[in-house]
Amino acid sequence: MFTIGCMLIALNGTLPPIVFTPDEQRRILQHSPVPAPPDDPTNDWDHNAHAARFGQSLFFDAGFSSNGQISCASCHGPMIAFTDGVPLSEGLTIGSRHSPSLLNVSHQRWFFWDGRADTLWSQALHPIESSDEFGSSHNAYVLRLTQTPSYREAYERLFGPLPKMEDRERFPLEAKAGTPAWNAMSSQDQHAVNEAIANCGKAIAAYETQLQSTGSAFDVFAEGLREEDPQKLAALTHSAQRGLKLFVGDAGCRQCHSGPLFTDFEFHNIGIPTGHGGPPRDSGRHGGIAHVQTSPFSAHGPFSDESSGRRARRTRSTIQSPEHWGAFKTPSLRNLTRTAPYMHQGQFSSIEDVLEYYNTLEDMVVQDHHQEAVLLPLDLDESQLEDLAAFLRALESPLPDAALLSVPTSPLLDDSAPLHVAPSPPAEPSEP
Amino acid sequence: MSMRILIAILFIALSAGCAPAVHVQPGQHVLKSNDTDFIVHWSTRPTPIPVNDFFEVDVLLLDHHGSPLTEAQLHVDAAMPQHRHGMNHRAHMESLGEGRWRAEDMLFHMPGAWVLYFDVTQNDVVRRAQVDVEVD
Repeated sequence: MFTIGCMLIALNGTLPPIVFTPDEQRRILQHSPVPAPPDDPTNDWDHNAHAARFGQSLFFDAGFSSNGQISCASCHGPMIAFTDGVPLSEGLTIGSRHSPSLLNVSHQRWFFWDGRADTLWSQALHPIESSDEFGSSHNAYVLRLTQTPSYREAYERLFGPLPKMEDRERFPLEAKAGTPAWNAMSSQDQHAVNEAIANCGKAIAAYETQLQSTGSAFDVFAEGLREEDPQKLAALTHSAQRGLKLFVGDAGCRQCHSGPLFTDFEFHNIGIPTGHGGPPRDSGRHGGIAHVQTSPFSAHGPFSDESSGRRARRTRSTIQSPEHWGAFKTPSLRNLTRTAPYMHQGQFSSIEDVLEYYNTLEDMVVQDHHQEAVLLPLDLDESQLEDLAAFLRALESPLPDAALLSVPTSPLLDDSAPLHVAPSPPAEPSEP
Repeated sequence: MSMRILIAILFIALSAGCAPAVHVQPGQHVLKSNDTDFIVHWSTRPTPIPVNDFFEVDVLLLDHHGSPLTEAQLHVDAAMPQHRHGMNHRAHMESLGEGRWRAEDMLFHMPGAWVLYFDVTQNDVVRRAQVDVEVD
């Protein structure tokens, strides 16, 4: 296997061969293929096709927001890799962070830029009561389910009866967690609403688990490396191969962008200048840890389907330390071509801008000595930067099946539909 | 038998003390604490330690005579000194008895140079054994 890297040579005419050392080849193969979506033990419905269909309907429905115009898809537009193309997400108001892509999202360990959710299903619940996003309440959300026959049927087939939301005295619409109206509700009613809302999150997560995007030109190349197949090795241009060599070597990108998703799923402060120009005010991971450890919707909470399992234990044992202040999650690099602008506030509009930052660290915000101490300017020349960009562009892969990219005709699947989602066949590779 | 041989036999017997023989298993590493007062036999599952995936560390603590260190608490931790940070969460420690421990939920989220720490608490005194580990 370890000599085949040199074979591309022939396919690139007179260009000198790109030789990958055994160590480089081993590192390259750590990035591909993307494995099947992992099981989430805290969500019994994560691979349930009926739940996924119900969740898809909820995902695209703007009727759950207070102005009737905002849905999950408003900030996670399917055609641009489930992002929104603007620096800061726009719900009822403009938010404080950029919308991350949902492609391959079920592989993540933490959710949001600060990891304040530890499961995909609990992530989906945050926008409902956020004043920047839906501006609604859990009570209003569940009431709408009960009043929409197709939703009610889909929900009750999966999860059982909904609470008696029609009693507005027991379930006031303005009641949100922490408000006097919410606190005045009985603990049984609070639990019933929270359980229903958690189930909706689990259905949305089942849909989002299907949003897999694999089969990039890079994956074909990696397959070629594994199989010693010169045709597949030709999937990456010569420039992209040079970029790959930098990526797994001198540029040090893989220190954080590791594994098949090109992310370590963890949090770093790389000193990016803020989008608003002033000093950083966003606590990032530091605040995220505080939230996830106390949220009733966390993996160790009462609505988790495995509240005493390993996932729950890992959330409880997460350490909050000073270096987490201003740290944000490492984003996946797959499908970068579709997810501009970049960084947690969309500070950089192009891949070239991102690389330029790492190359010079110009305007880096040094808060204290807790930041990543190993981050130094790359000091690459123009052609090397072009090569890195060429490699990053080769991480684009096809969007998921078209049926997953829009509102479904019904939240209900036919009874004859299989209960469990079959693993998706590998997608056709993108054009190199 | 000369007196010299008798003394040699006696010396060997005393050096060995009454400690049971501990065999180092394949894949198992042995190190002494920084103060040389205790010995750590350790191995990981899986081996080698993966980048950014959970692994476990099995530990056997022995005193300097080679007897299991039973009246002690162990905590396993790790850090990347060059990066000035450690792991992002605490390992879950399980005592298996007779000086044996298992550290679960270990995660080296970045490739590079890590230091693995074995901190043993006995009578309110913490002593440490440590070893450099390269993960790639």
